[in-house]
Amino acid sequence: MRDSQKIKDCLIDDFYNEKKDKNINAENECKEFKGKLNLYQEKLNLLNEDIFEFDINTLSIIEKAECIKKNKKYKREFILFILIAFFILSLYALAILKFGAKFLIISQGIVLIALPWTIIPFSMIRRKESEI
Amino acid sequence: MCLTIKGVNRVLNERELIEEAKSGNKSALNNLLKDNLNILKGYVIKMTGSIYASQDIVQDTMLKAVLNIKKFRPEAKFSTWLIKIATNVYRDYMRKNRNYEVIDETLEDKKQNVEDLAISNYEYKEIMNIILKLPSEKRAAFILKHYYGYKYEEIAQILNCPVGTVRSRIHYAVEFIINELERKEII
Repeated sequence: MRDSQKIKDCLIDDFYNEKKDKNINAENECKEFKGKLNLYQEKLNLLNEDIFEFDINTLSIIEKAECIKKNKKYKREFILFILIAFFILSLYALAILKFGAKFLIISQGIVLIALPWTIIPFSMIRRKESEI
Repeated sequence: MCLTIKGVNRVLNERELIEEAKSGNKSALNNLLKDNLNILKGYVIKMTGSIYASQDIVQDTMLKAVLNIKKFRPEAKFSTWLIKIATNVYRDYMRKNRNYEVIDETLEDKKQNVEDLAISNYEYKEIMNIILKLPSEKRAAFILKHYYGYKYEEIAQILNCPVGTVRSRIHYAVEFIINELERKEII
């Protein structure tokens, strides 16, 4: 029984061009099983015929993927924005607690004066980069 | 595959198409998907035996492939990578949709004899049913070997299992199919 199974295994490997065992001695069993394998091959070829067609629009899939990528990017950026904002506000709150309300007034003054001078050149550089 | 890059028409091989697709060239990506669509469709149809399930799985597979194109390493063929994704998508699909409708289409009238056509239709459905009776892991290994000629090692990589397991799954599948074909008097 075990030998018979071994022979079948070797014949299947041989049928599929995998490594071959040359010590197969049971000629009759070989012939019978090989015959079955050939018939089976013939019948299974039927499934190679396409009996139906369905359309897949690859371009729409690519566009859908682009949308998903954009949404993921927006989500990531939003979470990053929230985290950074939380971090800055926490630092600000800690500084106010440590240095008092005066710190709030001085820092607001600095921000109001300095922010336009940093944002305007930065946005101009970015605009030029995007134009290129 | 003919593709225009910076105004120059030239034939690109698969590796070049992949590089172009990775760098964001939609046309290259589209061509790559179209080139491999038939292989993917054939595999999924044989795995599911259902037109609707196949359509869903092929679409999901392609979507995942597009989303993860940058992770693709060109050591393997693109079609092999697609089949690997399709196998995972198929598993997820089966978890969510346990009952789905199996193919009830018929072969087209390519043969002259009506009797031959009727026999072929019957045999097609029976063979599909026999393959669908196999457990999905064995079915996948068998389809990849029989219809796509992958080596045991390649199938082991696609299905994430040892080579010995692949070999035994294929042997089981072949013997099961032969026994069923004999039982149904098809061979």
